[in-house]
Amino acid sequence: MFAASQIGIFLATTPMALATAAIGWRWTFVMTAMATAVIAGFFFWLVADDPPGRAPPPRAPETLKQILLGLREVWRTPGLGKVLAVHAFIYASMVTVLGLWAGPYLSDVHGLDAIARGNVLFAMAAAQLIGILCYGPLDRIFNTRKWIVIAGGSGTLLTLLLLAVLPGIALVPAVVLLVLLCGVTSYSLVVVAHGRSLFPDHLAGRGVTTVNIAQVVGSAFLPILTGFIVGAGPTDTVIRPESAYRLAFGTIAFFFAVGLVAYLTAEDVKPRQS
Amino acid sequence: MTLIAVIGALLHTAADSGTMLVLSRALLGLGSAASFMSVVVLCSRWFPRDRLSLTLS
Repeated sequence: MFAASQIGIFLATTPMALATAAIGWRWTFVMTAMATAVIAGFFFWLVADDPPGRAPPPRAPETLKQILLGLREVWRTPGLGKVLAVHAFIYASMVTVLGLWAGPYLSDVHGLDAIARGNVLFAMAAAQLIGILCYGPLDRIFNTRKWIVIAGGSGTLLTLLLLAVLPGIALVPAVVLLVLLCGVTSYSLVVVAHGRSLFPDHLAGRGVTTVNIAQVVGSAFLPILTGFIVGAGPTDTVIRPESAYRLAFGTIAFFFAVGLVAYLTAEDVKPRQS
Repeated sequence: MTLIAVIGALLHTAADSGTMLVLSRALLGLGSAASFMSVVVLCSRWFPRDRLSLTLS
């Protein structure tokens, strides 16, 4: 599902640019709205709440008070805080680099033009997609979710730290590290599965959305924070120094490490027992 | 919730001010986020728990 959702990310790059050039951005959005409406219609028509052959469990409508009490129950779930801590910075670390700083970094530090930057960003997005598909079966193979996340997190931390501490890094190793970062930082789905396993069925919806809130908060926090850091450099030049980007990568690594360390003490939920 | 995203996208096409642009994009985000999370919950209902990561991937 996460990999399929990346199709939209790819369509929002060159295809969307071509469509915008051909019919304008307003009509491009009309087309995407229509496509989304058609898909929603098919989804409503074809997808059931429960799989065939299994009777739907009783789901009585809840009052607002019951909904809020359920949310309180979710927030009191043992072990949730450690999952939220790491989840806040996994996708955020990757997307802050991919979506925000990789392009300017490759331009300012390595002098890449728009097409070359686009190629690198495409490779990073492709690596992320491949990574998502690779992480999917790992928790069942190794019968652990926690240690999949910690192993992947170690890779994230290593790539970020190398980008942060190596001065004057050449283009090829820099690109390799950026692509590796995206490929290895694709285990959010394992954390979502870990988070889901903490909640009883009647709190599944509120539980997974609560887990996802952490990701949204982190994905807003890191771009804003690193924006201040990179923007704090000299203002008399349009090209930002490498040191500003290294500091931004280091800051992302720091917050990611804080989340990962908090997660280290989380209780593992083994897939074959969950 | 997906229809809210559709309405946001359509309003976005007609935006003639910064405020309308931001509001339409907020609707787009609200609908998209909620429908995405609904599919995560559906995956957890449809498939065995030990295959949730595989399904999500």
